[in-house]
Amino acid sequence: MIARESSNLMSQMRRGAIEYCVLALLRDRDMYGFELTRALSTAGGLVASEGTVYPLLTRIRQDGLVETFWEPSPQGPPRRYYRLTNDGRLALETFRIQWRQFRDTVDTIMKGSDE
Amino acid sequence: MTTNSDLDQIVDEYLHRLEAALADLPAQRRVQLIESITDHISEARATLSADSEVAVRDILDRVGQPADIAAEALADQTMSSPLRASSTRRKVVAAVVIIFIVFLVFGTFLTTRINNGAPSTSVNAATTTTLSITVPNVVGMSLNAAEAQLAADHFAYVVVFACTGSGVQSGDVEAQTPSPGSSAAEGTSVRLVTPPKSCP
Repeated sequence: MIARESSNLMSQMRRGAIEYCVLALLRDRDMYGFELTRALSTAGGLVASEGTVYPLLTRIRQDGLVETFWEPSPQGPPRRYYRLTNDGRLALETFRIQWRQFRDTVDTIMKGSDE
Repeated sequence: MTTNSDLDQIVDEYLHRLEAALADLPAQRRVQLIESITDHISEARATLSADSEVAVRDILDRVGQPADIAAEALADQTMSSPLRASSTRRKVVAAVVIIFIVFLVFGTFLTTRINNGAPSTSVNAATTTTLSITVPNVVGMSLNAAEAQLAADHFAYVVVFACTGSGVQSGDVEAQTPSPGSSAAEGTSVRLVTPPKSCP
């Protein structure tokens, strides 16, 4: 029962964090869908499967955090690229600050309880 | 020995299962999601040195179970983030627009009643005209220009890659349905056909 609740908590935390991981990956360069989902899935432990990233991409696009554009590809059909918007950049910076404080606080308390 | 068309069939079967799993999603989101995952699978197959059944099944395993993707899509729909100011702004605008339309329709209704003593069909006429709009002509445009045009006119779109031998370059719109000038409901998904890079 306790184990199940904690795995549910982890999946909630993951769900919340992936969105910002996508924004962070896009901070320095634009990426196309396949590239983005591969990067997230190879990171390990973050996404259940590559396909589950696409609903999130659609949502953050609708929310205006990213926008998309088409680019020709060297080998196949044109690719849909994702690019950060100003709102996306702002959301990422806000999250980075909040995340760092949250992580430090939790770490400090966890360390204290170890001893 | 598995041929290329056998492999295409494995992918098609997967996409059909995905489509069935996504049945509860609004049509527009379902179409967009299937389009993205179809592209993903083609990209993954293009990176293979040799297309084999094992490799294709491995790609589909990495994409994941249709039920998991559907669960994620449905959960995502109800989720909202505290950092989403622009979406809240849009919701407020939408609410104002809806209230305005309600007043407009109700106003027309009242006026008609006052003037004629009975509600007339003009109420219905007013509501239908706000929902149905003319589909713009995006044939010949680049996908990016077409997207901007369709977004400005409140249409969604999906891209279909197909060889029809018209000589239009890849990334430019070769054909569209519904056709230009016809009328369609706001938010309708317009199908855009563009050739993939290599056409035989």
